[in-house]
Amino acid sequence: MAEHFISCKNVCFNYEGRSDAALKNVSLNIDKGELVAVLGHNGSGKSTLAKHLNGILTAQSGDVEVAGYNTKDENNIFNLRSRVGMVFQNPDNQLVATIVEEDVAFALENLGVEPKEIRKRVDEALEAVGMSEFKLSQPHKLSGGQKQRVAIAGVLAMSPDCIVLDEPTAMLDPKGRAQVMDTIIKLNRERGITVVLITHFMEEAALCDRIVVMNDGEVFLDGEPKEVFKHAQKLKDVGLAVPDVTSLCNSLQKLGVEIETSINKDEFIENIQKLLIG
Amino acid sequence: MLSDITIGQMFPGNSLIHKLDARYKIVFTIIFMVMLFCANSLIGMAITLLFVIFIYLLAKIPLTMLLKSLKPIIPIVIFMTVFNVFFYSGETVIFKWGIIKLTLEGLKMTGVMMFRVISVISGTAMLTYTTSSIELTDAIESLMSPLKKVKFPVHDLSMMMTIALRFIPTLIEETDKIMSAQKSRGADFESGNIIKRAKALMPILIPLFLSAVTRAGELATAMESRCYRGGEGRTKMKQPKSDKRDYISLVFMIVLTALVISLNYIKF
Repeated sequence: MAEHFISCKNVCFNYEGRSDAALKNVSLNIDKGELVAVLGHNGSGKSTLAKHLNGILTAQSGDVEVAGYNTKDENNIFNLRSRVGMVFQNPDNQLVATIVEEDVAFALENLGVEPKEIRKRVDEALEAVGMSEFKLSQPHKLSGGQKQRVAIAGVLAMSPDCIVLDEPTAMLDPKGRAQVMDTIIKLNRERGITVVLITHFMEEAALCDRIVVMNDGEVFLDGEPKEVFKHAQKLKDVGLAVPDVTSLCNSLQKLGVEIETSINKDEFIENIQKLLIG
Repeated sequence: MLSDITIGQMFPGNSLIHKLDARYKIVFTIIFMVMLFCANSLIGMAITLLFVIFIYLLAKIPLTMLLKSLKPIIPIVIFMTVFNVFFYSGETVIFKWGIIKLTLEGLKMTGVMMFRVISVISGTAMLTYTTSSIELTDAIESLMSPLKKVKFPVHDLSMMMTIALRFIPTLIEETDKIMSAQKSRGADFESGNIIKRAKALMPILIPLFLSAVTRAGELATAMESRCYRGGEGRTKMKQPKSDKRDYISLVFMIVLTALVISLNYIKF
């Protein structure tokens, strides 16, 4: 059964009192170690999907299996949640303790880990997100990007196989956004942690290995960034715009220039050089 | 403006007082209060006052901090002084005018009252000056843990205190923002009578409450995601630890209290 790390099968979900479904028959598989972006405009069901991955919401029909656990299985819900960490949008509303290191320890304390082991893992987690020097600070004195990295450390301390981030950069300034993205990518590349990044920033999605585009509660497109960005018009129809460089490439291709589709600036420059120098 | 408010402000340091186990410090505060209210002799009170000063010196808390914390009680002290000085029925009259009379006993009583109020504030303030809020909540949880046997929700209570302390600065910040937003739209909080001013607060309170409820919901989800399931089977990263200095301090406190109480019965 468990070939895929995350497998959603025909998942449907309706919020109470809403006529249209938030998720309509979503089927999606994600493998271990993948860095997946889930894109979509507001109300596309991307956050609802995220909440299904650690059993905060459970499918009304269909099944979600993560790390071999069915999310509907109440008995294993904490086993599941310790393996799938979740980071939310508002950094202020997910930090519990008044001191950074206490907050990072929160999940481990809940799991009943030995005090010495907690100490060790808290220090490691803070090191991994580059927040060691702030371990005795108070959360409200940190910047948004720093708070969000503390939140990531908080789930990282559980040593999860997978981290689901629900628009972690939406409330941050560009600098904080870059810090958080760097951290996420580093965790995926160096530790092989599966990352599901819910976002509406194309530039962030372009950094991932795979993009799943959601629209109206359905999976609209699914593939590598380059593949997905080829459908510029389709994306536009669902309220999303491809990155500027990609859009430029697409226009050039239409004019007959044989340039490869690029998804970021560096790649674009490389492709232009290839084209000009040959 | 609002961010000047600091509840249970801590004065970080590395003194003996800072290092004491927070559970002991709470017990010491209680013993101190007993000592204070048992001190009836002049020498006893002098010892208590000296003890307070000694503790402040030991903790290296600047006296200005103490004066700041005493500031809000000045009106109360003045009020009490006036009442005690002029309306206390004593026998040794010094000065008399109509129903108002100044007696020696009245003066003494006032002195005792002032001593108690000032000592109680400075003594208890010492606890919050030298103990972080998280240490304090942990200590309260630990001290109250026997109550778990009668099914008192000790853990839940301390969790609530922790979260409240965590969100005080966040909500103060938010109140500041909402006030600025409403002011920029022409709201007036400073003029008019009390009722008018109270009404003017509504546009601040309603958004504040709404956002607090939203925050609570999101925080609950985040806590659940991090496997929170109440106090059962929970461990603590920082174990409360007591050692020699705590025991020695405890003995010292008890001896001092016994001394102060026994001084009441000794005639000089």
